Amino acid sequence: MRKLLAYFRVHLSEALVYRATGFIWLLNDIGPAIVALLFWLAAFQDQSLIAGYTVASMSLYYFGVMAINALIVPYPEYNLVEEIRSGSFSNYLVKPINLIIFKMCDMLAWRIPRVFYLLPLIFILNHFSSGKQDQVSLNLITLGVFMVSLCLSFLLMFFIKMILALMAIWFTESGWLFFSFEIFSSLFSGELVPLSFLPVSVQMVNNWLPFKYFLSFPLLIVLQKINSSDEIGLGLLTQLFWVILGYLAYRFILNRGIKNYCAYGG
Amino acid sequence: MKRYFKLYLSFIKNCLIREMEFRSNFIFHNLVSLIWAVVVMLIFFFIYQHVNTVNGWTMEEVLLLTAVYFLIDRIFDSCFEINFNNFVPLVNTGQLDLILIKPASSQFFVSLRQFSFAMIFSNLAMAGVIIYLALTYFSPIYWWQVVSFLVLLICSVVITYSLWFMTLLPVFWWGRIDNIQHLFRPFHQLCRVPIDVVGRFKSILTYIIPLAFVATIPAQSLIGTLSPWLVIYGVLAAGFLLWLSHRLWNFALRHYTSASS
Repeated sequence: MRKLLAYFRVHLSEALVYRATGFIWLLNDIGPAIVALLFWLAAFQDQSLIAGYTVASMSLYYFGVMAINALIVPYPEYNLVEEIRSGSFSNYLVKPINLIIFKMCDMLAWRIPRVFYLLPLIFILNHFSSGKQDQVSLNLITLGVFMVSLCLSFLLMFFIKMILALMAIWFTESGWLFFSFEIFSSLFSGELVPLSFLPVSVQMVNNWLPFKYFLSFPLLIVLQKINSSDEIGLGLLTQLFWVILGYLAYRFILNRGIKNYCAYGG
Repeated sequence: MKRYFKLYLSFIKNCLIREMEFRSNFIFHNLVSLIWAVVVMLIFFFIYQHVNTVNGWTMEEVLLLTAVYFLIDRIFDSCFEINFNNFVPLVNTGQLDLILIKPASSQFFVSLRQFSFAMIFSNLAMAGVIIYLALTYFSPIYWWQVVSFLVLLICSVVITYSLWFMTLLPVFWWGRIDNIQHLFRPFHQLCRVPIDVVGRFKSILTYIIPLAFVATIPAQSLIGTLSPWLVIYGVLAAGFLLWLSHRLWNFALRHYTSASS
C-alpha cells in the first residue's frame, strides 16, 4: 500500500507541474463530444424528439460522454510505446515495480486536476445549451451499479490499451494500430453518436463486443435508459467477462513480449 | 521562389524514400486514415435517417461538407501537421539552432521539412466523393463555382496552417507545454460540422477567427449558396493570417534562448 501511495504521489506531483499539458489533453478528449452536442442542439431546433431523445436527454448524454472521456478513459499506450522504443521499459523488468499498478496510478493521478477543469466547463456548456437538462433522480442502487460499471469500464479499456502498447515489442511503428482502435472504439462505444442510431443488426453484434462497455453501457445506466435488472445484470456480467479476458490476454502478451523484448537504447 | 520550390521537391523526395522503407506502415496508415473519414460520413448518414435538415443543411450537403473537411484536413496533415509534431522538441532541445543557421527561411523549414504520404488513399477517395456528390446532387456546377472552390481550398489550407502555427509559438516562453501542437485540434474539429450550428457566434467564426473558411464556405461554393464576396474575403483573410504568423514567428524567435545557454 505504501508503494502504491508513493507511485500515486509521484504521478500527482507530475500532473500538478504539467497543468497546461493536462488541460490541452482534456480539451482534446472532450472536443469531439462538444462538436457533436452543438450539432445536436441545432438539429433539435426543427424537431423536439429524435430517435427517442429529447434535447435534454441528448445534452445529458454528451455531458456524460465528456465526463467519461475526461475522467475514465485511460491512455497508457503512448508513454509505454516510447518506453519500449527507447529501452526504458527495462526499468519495469529489473526493478521491483509492478507495471500495471504503476501505470494505473499514473492514469488516476492525472485525472485529479481534470476534475477541477471539467466542472466549470460543464457549467458553462450547460448555460449555453440554455439549461435544458432534465433532473435525473438517482437512487443509491443505480448509482452503485453505475460506479461498478464505470470501474469495470476503466479496467477493460486499460487492459486493452496495455495490450496494444505491448505490440510495440513486435512492430516498429504501431501508431496505426492505436488509431484504428480509436476509430472502432469511438464508433461502437457510443462516443460519436448514441448506439441506438446504428442499424439494429450492428447493435446486436455490438452487444457482444467490448466497445459498448467502454462508455455507452455505464452511461445508459446512469441516464436510466436501461431499467430492466436482467439487462443490467447481463451487461455487467458481459463487462466482467471482457475485463477478465482482457487481463488474461495482457498477462499472456506481457510474458511473450518480455521474451522478445530487446532494449536497444538501454 | 524557384530555390524554395527545388528545396521542397528534395524534401518530398527524401520523405518518400524514408516512407518506402516502412511500406506496411505506409499502407496501414493510409487505410486507417481512409476508414476514419468513412466512419464520420457513416455517422452523419445514420443521424440523417432521423432528421431531415440541421440548420437548413440536408444530408447530401453535410456529406459534401465532411468530404471537403477531410480533403483539406488530409492536405494539411500531409504538408504541415507532421512538422508541427516535431516543433516542440526542436525548440526545447535547441535543435532549432541548426535550422536558424541555414540559408533559407526558418519558418519554411520548420513548417515544411517533412511530408507525409499516409493520406494519399484518403485524399483520392474524398476527391472522388466530392465530384460524385457535386455532380449528382448539386448540378449544374458552373466553372466559376469550381474556380472559387479551388481558391477557397488553398485559402482553407493557408488559414488552418496560420492559425495552428500561431498556437505553437507560446512554446518559446512556456517550454514545459510539450503537447502544445494539440491545442488547436479541438477548435479545428468544430469545422467538421456546418459552422451555422454555433448560432450567434457564426459571425465571429467567419470574420474574426475564420474557421468557417476551413470547410463550410468551400463546401458552400460547390453547393451554390455562397456570396461571391466571401471568396475575396477568404483570400484576404488567408493572406493576412499568413503575414501575421510570419511576424509572430519573427517576434517569438527573438525570445529563443536555445537549450544549453
